[in-house]
Amino acid sequence: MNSLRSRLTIALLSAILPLIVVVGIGLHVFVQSSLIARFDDGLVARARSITNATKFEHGRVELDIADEGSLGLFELRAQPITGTSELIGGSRSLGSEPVEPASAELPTARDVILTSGEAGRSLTVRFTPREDPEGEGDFGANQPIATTPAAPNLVLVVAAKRDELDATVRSLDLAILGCGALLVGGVVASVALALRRGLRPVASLAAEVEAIDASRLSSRVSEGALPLELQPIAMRTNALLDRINDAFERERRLTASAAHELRTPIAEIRAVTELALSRARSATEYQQALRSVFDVSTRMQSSVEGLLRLARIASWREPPNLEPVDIAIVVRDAWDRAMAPALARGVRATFEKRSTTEVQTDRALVTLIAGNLLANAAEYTPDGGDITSEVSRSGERIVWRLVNTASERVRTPDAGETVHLGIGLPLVAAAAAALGATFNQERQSARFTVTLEWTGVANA
Amino acid sequence: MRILIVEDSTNIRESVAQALREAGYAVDAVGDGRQGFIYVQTTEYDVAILDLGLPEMDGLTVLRRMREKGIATPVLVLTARDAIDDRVLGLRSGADDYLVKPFALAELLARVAVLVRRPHGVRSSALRFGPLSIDTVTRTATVNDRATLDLSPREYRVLEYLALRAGKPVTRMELEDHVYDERSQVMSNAIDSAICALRAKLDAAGCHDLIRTRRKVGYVLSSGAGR
Repeated sequence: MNSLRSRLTIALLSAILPLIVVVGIGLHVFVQSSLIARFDDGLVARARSITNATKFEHGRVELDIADEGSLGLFELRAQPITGTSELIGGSRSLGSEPVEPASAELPTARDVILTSGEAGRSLTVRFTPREDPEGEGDFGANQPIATTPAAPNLVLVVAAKRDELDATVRSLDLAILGCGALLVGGVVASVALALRRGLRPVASLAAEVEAIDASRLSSRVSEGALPLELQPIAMRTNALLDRINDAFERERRLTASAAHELRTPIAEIRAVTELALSRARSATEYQQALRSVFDVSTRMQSSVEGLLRLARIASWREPPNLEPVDIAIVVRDAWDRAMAPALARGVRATFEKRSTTEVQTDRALVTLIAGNLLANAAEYTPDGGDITSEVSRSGERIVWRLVNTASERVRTPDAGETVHLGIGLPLVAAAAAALGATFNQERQSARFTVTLEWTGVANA
Repeated sequence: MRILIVEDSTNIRESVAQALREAGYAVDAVGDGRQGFIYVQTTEYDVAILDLGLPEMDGLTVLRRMREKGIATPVLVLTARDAIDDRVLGLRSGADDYLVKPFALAELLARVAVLVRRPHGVRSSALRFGPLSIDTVTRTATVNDRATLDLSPREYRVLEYLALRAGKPVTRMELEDHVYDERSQVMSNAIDSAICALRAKLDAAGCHDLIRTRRKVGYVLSSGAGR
């Protein structure tokens, strides 16, 4: 059972119900013992009356009481000296009840079965009757008393039926059971209600979280209305959603940029092949078409490889291959590959390196970034324009700044279609982020500036 | 019909231009926005195909400046940007149609044909003048729905241009501008000879006096038979 409510219900009831049972049993024992004690008090009172009424006069034991029936069940016997005791008097209803031996602790109360077969309770008392030389009476007159004037030790057994006591105990037991059952029902209901109310914020939180699917990643769990104990969960959930949303957004931008980057070369291949196939062509025309397709597909291969590597790194499926990379050298190499179209149009290029510019980074990805930015600058810097590249270090910060004369092609800083070779600026930014670097682009009047910045670079 | 292509991808530019030429259009093609803007200002094109990501001047800027200057040339935007927002932005900036890369040449040709007809209020691709029918999609002319006229590309272009402006006089200069592109070596009497050849073929097929000469103005295709 995985429900939190079920678990808590079981845990609470497991703790409370045994307590109720124990209290019920304790109550039963207490009530029963109290009633028996009071019952025994009645027996003691009767025994006291009988002992008070028992006298020893004229060498005989006499019971000085007018109505012997008012004493209930009792037996009065001489303390046995040998073997059997001598019955002096009594109601004779306890004929089968053995007299306690002289050595027994007296007075003693205990449960007995009466001659009538009913359950009863008896009290045995040992005493010596008072001597009354002046008194008269014939109680036990048929019993010769020893001539010795000393009063004998007597044993008195007083008994009473306990049917009323048992009935009272049973009634009280039923009352305890009834109250206990009601209490258990009340506790179960209260626990269920309390848990439902108590867990309502949890259910509300769960419902809010459940409502956030892939299409609603911008939604957030409301933290303010939650109990203090749940607020950290909501805060962590929101923080997690922020990260997931960012990851989804990066993925979406990456996919959109990748799709965008691949559309143009695919369009080129399609246009060239469709035209070639639209009618019969000469061998030279087919050869030209195939050459174009080959050139485009080679360029596409480079783009796709860059995109795949970027996608693997951005999705943490492949860690960047970190090694010491001199940014200035990578930039210079990239320019050597990209400079041809720019030089042909009279573009002036200046490359500066200030101090050590070595960073622990992924050489392939940095090469991809530098290649794209410089190819872009080389292709789109207007005729006679200039390109300035500067790699500098300031403390733990290394910055590559690339400035070129801007053509009207670059409309806004977030334009997505500013790079035609390889990958576009959004992907360059994604690649920089994958390397832990910061990429920025800025256009001011006729100059377009891109910067790539690493911070926290250890000293060489 | 004269088309301008402004596209920086050489492969796309040359392939589309070639496909349009083979379809009978006169085509000029340039590779950057600044040149494209100069071309649309100096020549009256029937359709401009404009890429958005262009060097020198962005395609949307070219489009806005065209509309600001009152150049009403229908524009087909050709771009890799496929987001709804991009399409809306392009259309709001004055584009008449939007085609996302990669595209089929056949679709591009069909859209160009629609844009060519649109300024003249012609919805159907079939134009009819009495017994003469002109199909602007297949670029063929038939008489009485049976005999297909054997027209050269130049003759067809002249006939289609006159047909789209039926009832309105068209000057020789205008015909030259719309029938020939900048690569063509146009002789001074090229239009006259094309009209002459066209009339001969129409007469032979039974379509008499369809193209008339307006003295000191140019030519007019009779709209009497209706479209």
